[in-house]
Amino acid sequence: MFEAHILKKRERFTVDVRLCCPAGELLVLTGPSGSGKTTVIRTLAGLERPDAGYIRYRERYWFSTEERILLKPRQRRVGYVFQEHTLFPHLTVAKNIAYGCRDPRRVDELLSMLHIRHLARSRPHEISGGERQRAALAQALATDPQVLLLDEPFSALDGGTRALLRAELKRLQNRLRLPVIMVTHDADEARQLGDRHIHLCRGAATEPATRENALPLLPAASSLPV
Amino acid sequence: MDLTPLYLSAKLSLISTVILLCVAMPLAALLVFVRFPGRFLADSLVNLPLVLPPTVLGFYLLLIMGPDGPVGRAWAALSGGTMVFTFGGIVLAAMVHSLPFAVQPLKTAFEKIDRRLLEMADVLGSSPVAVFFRVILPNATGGIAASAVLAFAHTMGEFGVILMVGGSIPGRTRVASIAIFEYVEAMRYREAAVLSLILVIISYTILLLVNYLNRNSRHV
Repeated sequence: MFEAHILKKRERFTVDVRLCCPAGELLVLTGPSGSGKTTVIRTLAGLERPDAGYIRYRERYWFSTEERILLKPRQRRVGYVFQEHTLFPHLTVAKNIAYGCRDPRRVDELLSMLHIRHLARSRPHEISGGERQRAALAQALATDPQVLLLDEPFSALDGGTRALLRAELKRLQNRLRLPVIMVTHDADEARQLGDRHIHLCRGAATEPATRENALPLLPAASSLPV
Repeated sequence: MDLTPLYLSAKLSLISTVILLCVAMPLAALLVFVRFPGRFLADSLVNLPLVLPPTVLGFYLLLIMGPDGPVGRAWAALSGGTMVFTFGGIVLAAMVHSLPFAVQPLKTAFEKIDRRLLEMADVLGSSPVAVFFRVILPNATGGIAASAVLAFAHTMGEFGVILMVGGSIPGRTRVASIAIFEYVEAMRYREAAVLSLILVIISYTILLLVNYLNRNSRHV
């Protein structure tokens, strides 16, 4: 079980979110731009420091104001995928995946798992956006992460590629049985992928909910800011 | 005609550039990526040689590197010799004077690197030192080359600071720019003209190289 309570003061409001995500489930964070979604996911990865609260994976604290613990991102073993520009431009796809990989044999396995074996020797600028995000997923999984964090991973892709990668992510989630936390603007994506949903508004969250009772809380796709 | 001063200039430029790059790369990374108290002061201090008259810089270096100065005393304790009026002394002086020329292109190149790449490297388990070698340096090759070329060119034309710290000892500290000055003083214009022409050709070639590197780094 991955759980957290994050308090972080921002310029106009305080982010105050409690979340929990068991292994094998996908928790979706939705909300309008500037509602604090990315702050939450960056805080979970250790890229931003919360003002108070805790982050815990199983029995181990990654952050706790009470216990005075703050692990660096490299000590947390998370997989993280940004919206774009995640890959190192000076490395080939295979070397990008190998970057954080402890076992070199895992690179081949991930290239196959994400269907990008043929791109192993390509540089990021030589491949399409969808292929780059597949490679980014492989890179994130190469560290054998305890938790997978996805910050709007498909938002820069066209509709067809997005649908393909959503299916791919669902397949990976079922196979790897990791806690997965994903930020998205897309109500369809949230509906299709999320086992749990949290809707953020000015840093405040609705209660973690099941797929059924959370869906009405999501605004219609047309009302979401672009 | 004696080409030793030209050889000494090239040797001085090469050695000081190589050592300077090793100092300037971590220093530029520190100034760009690390927030620490006094960063603004440190940044200005690095740029100080740009605005100081070379004779002023040379004077202070002479005091610091002289037999009674802290660097001179430390050098004497280590090597048993003096630092001023030696080739080692002018290497150090040239490095100090060329420091901003080496650091500025590196800072510009480092600032262009997408911060998310550094965050990603951190998430993927890299220590700050590993991030420096595996992400920052490979993504700043244009800046590193520009830094090396500018530091080399600046040292090739160095005059005031080297004269103050090294004097003009033939075969040891009498570099091309000092030799030209002395040829002119002795009204040996032919020798001065040949050495000057060689320096112009080297400097122009280096500028062409810098422009080429800048153009290429814009295309990345």
